[in-house]
Amino acid sequence: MSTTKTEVLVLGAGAGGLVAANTIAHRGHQVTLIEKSPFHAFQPGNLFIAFQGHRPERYIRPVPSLVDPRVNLVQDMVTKLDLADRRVETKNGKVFEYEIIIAALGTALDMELVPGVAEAHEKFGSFFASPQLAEKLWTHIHRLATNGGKLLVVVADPLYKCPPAPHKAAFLSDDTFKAYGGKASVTLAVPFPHAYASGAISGAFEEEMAARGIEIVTGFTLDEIDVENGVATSLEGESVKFDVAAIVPPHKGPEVEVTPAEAVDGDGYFKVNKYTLQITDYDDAYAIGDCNNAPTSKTGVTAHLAADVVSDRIEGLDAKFTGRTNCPVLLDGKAAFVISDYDHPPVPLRFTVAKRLFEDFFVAAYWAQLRSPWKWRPVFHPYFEATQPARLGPRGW
Amino acid sequence: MSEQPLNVEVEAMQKLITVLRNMNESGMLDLLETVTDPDVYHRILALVMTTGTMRLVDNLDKLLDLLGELAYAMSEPAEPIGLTGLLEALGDPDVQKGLGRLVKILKALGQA
Repeated sequence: MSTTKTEVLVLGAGAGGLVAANTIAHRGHQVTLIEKSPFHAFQPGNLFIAFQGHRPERYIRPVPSLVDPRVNLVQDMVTKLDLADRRVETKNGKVFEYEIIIAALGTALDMELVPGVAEAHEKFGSFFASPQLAEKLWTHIHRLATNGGKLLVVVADPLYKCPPAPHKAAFLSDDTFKAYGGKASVTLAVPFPHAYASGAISGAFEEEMAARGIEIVTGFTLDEIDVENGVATSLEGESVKFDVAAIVPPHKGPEVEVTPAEAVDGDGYFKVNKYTLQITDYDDAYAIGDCNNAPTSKTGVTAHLAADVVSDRIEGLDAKFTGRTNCPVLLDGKAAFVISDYDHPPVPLRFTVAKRLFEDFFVAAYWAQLRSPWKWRPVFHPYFEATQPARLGPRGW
Repeated sequence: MSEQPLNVEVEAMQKLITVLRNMNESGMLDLLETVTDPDVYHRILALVMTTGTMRLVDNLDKLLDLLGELAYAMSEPAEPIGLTGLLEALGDPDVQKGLGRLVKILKALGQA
């Protein structure tokens, strides 16, 4: 086994891992980044691929094109992480020893937990799993739009990436169905008592959905998907029929063997100090983004902001993660942002054209944000300051 | 040798070069170079990106619509009126609504 020693080891080239690796290398540290996939996908792009027929190429870039040349990129799969020995092993038998580690491994999808979910993915594709499966889902959405039928967007478990993603799925597919003459319909089924996880802003979603004739089924904890007969059943005993099912499958922590096992929780997420993002009991190990158990949403924005905090802490600064979210919800040329942090539930939201423009600019500059984060922090910093939940207050934005 | 017609890209590049030469002579390019410094655009953005301007941008369409209505009202002939005229006008529901909004604006001014 070959052993590589590195100052900072970053696991995963998602949004958080790339921002951390590129920022830290830019500041003169020796950084190694391990990533299993040759491609980085802009994950919200899956929604546009699956529900509006965008080409996947638009939302995919080769990982090396997003990595600063000062970072040592290793394309391999992390299999073991030993926090006590400061050691990582990969599928190809490489060993890495580090001084500081940043786990940015994202989540894994659990297709086996709920019966029928794996079959549904096989048959209909998915807007959560990959751009390829999103493309497959688009063939079914397009068929529904043309011939009519019922789309069911269903959330299997309350903990998933991008809380407004299923709502975006409902809005975007509804846009598509209406553009094709309104022959197909959408039903959204969620395990929450309201349309959205946070009751505080559910009203805004319910209003927009009612205006569009999107049916909402609340309190629906998915128990089984019967793909053959087109029926989803909940633990509460309710059944919803469908022609096509777009499922948010249950999530779990990354599939890496972690020592000690107590460093991860029962679902496999790294236990972290929610402000410093240090893995409990280790001051040389951090977990950022979807793979940690910080009590905030699992989104690219939180991963990016967490990467900024960890990059600063490595420099000795007392940076603290606020749990800030900024999740866009899109409909008919408008957008709203779900803005919250550890100390504030989401502030009231308003759908406007201006916010959709912000989102368009953000998406256009996404690759540059990952590649040169130090050029973008001066843009994001004033934005996040001006839109702090504490400043927006009960009026929201 | 016959002269080849310039293709459109070359023509565009030549114009751009002229613009750049002028901007260089005037020092405008030096200013632009400064603006691309992250410290400088951070200061500019911190100046203009406030909670208030975020709300302003968010309502820009409504605000422009209102300005259009105001411009139209300005172009209409209006009789000079006194207190009696004002009292009479207060019977109009639109004027009442406008007055209500004016009070809201006064309140916001007071809170600012």
